Amino acid sequence: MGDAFGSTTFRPASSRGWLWMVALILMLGVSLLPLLDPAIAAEEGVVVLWITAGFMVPLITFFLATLASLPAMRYELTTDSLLISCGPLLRYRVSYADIVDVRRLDLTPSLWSSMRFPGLALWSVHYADVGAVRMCATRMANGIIVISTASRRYGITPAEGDRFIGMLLAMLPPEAA
Amino acid sequence: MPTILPMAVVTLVASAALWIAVLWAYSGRTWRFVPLVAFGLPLSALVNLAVKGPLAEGVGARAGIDPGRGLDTPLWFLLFLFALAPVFEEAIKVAPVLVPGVRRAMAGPGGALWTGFALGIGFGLGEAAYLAWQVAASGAYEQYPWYAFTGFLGERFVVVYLHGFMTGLFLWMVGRGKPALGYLTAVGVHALLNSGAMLYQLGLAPGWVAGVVMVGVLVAAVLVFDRVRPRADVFAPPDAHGGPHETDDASPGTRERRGATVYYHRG
Repeated sequence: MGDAFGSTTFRPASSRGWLWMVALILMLGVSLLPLLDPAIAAEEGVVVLWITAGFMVPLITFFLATLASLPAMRYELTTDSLLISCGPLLRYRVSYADIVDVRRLDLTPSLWSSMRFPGLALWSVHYADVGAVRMCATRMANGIIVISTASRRYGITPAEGDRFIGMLLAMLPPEAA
Repeated sequence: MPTILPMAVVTLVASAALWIAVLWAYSGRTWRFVPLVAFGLPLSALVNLAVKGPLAEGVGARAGIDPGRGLDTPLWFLLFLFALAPVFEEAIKVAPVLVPGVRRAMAGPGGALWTGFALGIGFGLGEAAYLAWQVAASGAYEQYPWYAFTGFLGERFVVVYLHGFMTGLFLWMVGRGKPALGYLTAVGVHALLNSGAMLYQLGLAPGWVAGVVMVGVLVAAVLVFDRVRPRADVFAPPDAHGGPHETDDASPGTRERRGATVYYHRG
């Protein structure tokens, strides 16, 4: 909660999106199981084993790191910018002076591959209706607070949405400017 | 118990969950088209058992061609076998539009696209079940554990979407008054998709070629799908969009939004 981290730091809304990371790790782990079977391993050949392991092990490591970083997801209102972060893996700094638009939207994800699942969206996600949005959110599409600068868009889902919006608006230049 | 069964269940549940969710979300968060998936489910078994199988056997028997001769098979018969799946599957996938209720769902080009997508997903799911049944019945892979069938999972996962894409494109073109072109396009995409596997089965290409062809077709399909879909949405029926429909002034680079709450706008 904001109170636990100071009045200008906000946690994301709660979600079970982390379960997708667990599911992906298990799925990739299952694909490695045939490697443990000597009969299949002999049939597939050593090269195939190395190629499979070469793809799967880094992927599993990456998803484990992402899973471990999720509890650190934060939105912090500093004196001159909004700091969006998710542990060491993701960090976006958005200067208040650069923000031109803030709105809450229901977005439509496109089919292009990105790190987004129901309950979780990270890094750049392409949406069919607004294009690429840099996400650090615990929802994929519904009720996303989209913060736009002249060149980029950021998507977040603070738990205390109204309080966050109120404090953010107080930091922004006047709309007439 | 056939060893492929657990993976077949995983494949069907995962494919149905994802592609039906895509259908629901992309068609405007409506359940309107989802029941149509059921119409496609039995069609793969039907076309394989009642059309493709008897035709291949009948024509082969009349021509005196033994099955399984590989490259020794006459070219015309190879082409005939190659054409069976695209020609008959793309035709039977749209057969449910003869049902008045299904035809009503096609109202407007958006409706046609999502009706076809739903029917194609249903066909793809039914095909996955039919193939799993064939593998189990043949007993050819019983020595493998269930987790060795990840290739089946990956391939079917993609093919279910591609069936939806092909039938969606077909009916989308039907909705635009081009049924013959729509059918030929669906048949062409289907033939292209099958070409890698066909070359591999004939020993003319290594196995990875089939995978490369599938990935290529998938990327092209997603590109086309994303181009077609927004245009179809313009014609979507009014009840296809849930929630509030108020609009607001668009910000630079942002199209008119539904249900947007604007807190701040400058510039």
